Amino acid sequence: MIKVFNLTKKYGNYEVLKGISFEIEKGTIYGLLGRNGAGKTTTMNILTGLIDYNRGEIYINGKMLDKNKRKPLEEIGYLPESPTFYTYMTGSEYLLFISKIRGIPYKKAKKEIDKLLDLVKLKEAANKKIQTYSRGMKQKLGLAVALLDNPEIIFLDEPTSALDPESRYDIFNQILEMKKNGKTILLSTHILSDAERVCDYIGILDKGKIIFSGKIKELKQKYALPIYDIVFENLPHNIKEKLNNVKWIADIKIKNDTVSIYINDIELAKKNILSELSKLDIPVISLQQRENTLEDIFIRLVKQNEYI
Amino acid sequence: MNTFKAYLKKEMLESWRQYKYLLLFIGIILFAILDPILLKLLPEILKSKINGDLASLIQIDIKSAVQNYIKDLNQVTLLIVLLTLMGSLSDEISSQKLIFPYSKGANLSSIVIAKILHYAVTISIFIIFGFIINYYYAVTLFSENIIAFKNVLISAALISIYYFFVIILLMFLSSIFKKGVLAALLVLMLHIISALLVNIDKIAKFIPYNLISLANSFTTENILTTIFSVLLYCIILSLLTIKNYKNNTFA
Amino acid sequence: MLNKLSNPELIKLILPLFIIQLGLTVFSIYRLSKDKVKYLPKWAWLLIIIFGEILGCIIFLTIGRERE
Repeated sequence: MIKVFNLTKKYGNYEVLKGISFEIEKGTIYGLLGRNGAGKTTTMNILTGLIDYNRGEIYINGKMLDKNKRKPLEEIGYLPESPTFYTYMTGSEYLLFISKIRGIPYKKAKKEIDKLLDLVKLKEAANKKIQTYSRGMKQKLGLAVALLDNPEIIFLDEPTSALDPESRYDIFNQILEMKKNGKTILLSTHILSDAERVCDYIGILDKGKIIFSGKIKELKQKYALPIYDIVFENLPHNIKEKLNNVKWIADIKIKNDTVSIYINDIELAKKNILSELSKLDIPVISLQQRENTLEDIFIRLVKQNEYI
Repeated sequence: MNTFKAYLKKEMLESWRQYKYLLLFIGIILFAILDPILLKLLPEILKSKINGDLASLIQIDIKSAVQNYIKDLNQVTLLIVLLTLMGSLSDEISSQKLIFPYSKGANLSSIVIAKILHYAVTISIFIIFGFIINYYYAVTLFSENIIAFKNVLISAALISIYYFFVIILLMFLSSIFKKGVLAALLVLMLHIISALLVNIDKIAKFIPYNLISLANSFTTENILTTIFSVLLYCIILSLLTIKNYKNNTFA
Repeated sequence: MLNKLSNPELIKLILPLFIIQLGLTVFSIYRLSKDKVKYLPKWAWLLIIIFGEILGCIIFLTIGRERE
């Protein structure tokens, strides 16, 4: 449905996107992950035709997105990170205004707007001016605007980052609902648990490069490393130095009372963990093995990227 | 065409809800009434302050009453118009209000044209209306030196064209600087500078400000050169505005 | 000249001016009571509206109010 190949974007001499490539299949949700400033919004703005790009190719629904041809864009809906409206209009007036731009006849537009307002749970506020809306309500109205005229592809830039838990829950349900209706969705976020909740595929964007693109499961299989969480009776302060030259330990992190040991060779670790611990000669309260979370993987990948 | 219609309606709603119609109406119509009355009362006021002989030196007739309105139209009224319109274009760029319309297929050229035409037509209607009222007051209050109504209407048209130019210039500068206040200040500066330049005979007829001088003199001689050159500037500036708009809006 | 001033004809001519002035002032004060303001505190805007007459009202309505 969407193919991006070697996309490059420069602002002056600064390269924001350094040749990124990824592909999104029809009817799936693709999550673009990355820290703030990684280039997520730039990617979104390019794919929605708002800004130009320097090099690369973009295909939307088989049609190439050329700098001057906006035809492929008729199929998309875009919800920017902080949607802005003409706030002197009411919610339904704004939707009607956008319908007019698209040339939808009045009666048909009225019907569709009613349906959309129902879907995003904004019916009660539909006739209030947008300037009285809360952040969450604006986000919902923005979603309704993006969904207007039934686009095939929907771009959502940080759709939940500024929302309270309840609105967040609503938005996620709507995203999953859209997927059920066969929509293709690209969403960007810096909140990993959000991505894990809804995305089929993810791409990790860091410093203008895609450092991973694929299924969440693949990411976990490929990068998942077991972690031992150890709680000592007294937290040893020089534990990092002491375990530094153990080959099967990738990293050590200390959080509160717990020492987390990241393993790179599970077989060796299983055999040797107890003997290494006994060498320390400190009473151990508990020892637990767990899989690392998406967040751990993300942090590790981004860290690796720093050394390249 | 869809975008043009949608934006024309949007501009009307915006002007109504943000009281822009009200402000423009007052800024243009008020002085049409206020000026002749003040001019009528001026000798009376002076008479009570100074001695009577001096007051009789001030001779006000119909022509000078209308000219006084023209003077206000290119001073106070211009300020009010700039204050009212300065945010109109820059706000949309700086606060990214165009993302939704644009991502839903809106045509940027149509947006700019709808904006310009809406304000140009609104202001022209108010100006013509203002001149009619002013003429009525002038004829009612004064008696000497009558000018034909037709000539007053021509002056109204000339001033309207000048405002058309001012609106486009404001939009053009807003599209470059993205700051409404800055654009408005620059328009004001150019207005003042061209008021001086218009005194140079050789170039006068190519300077937009000449429209005001022509309106003020109530002549119909040699007005076409100025009208056509201003309309040409308007077209060029509109095209440049559209071009800037396309390049700067989302970058 | 003075007897002309008391002429009802002249009063009729001044009346629209008076109505515009009064209406605009009342409207501005109404907006001041409802809207959020910018740059200056409300009492200062009130002084501007009352003593700045029509121009004061216009300045308040154009730049004094928070739009969003």
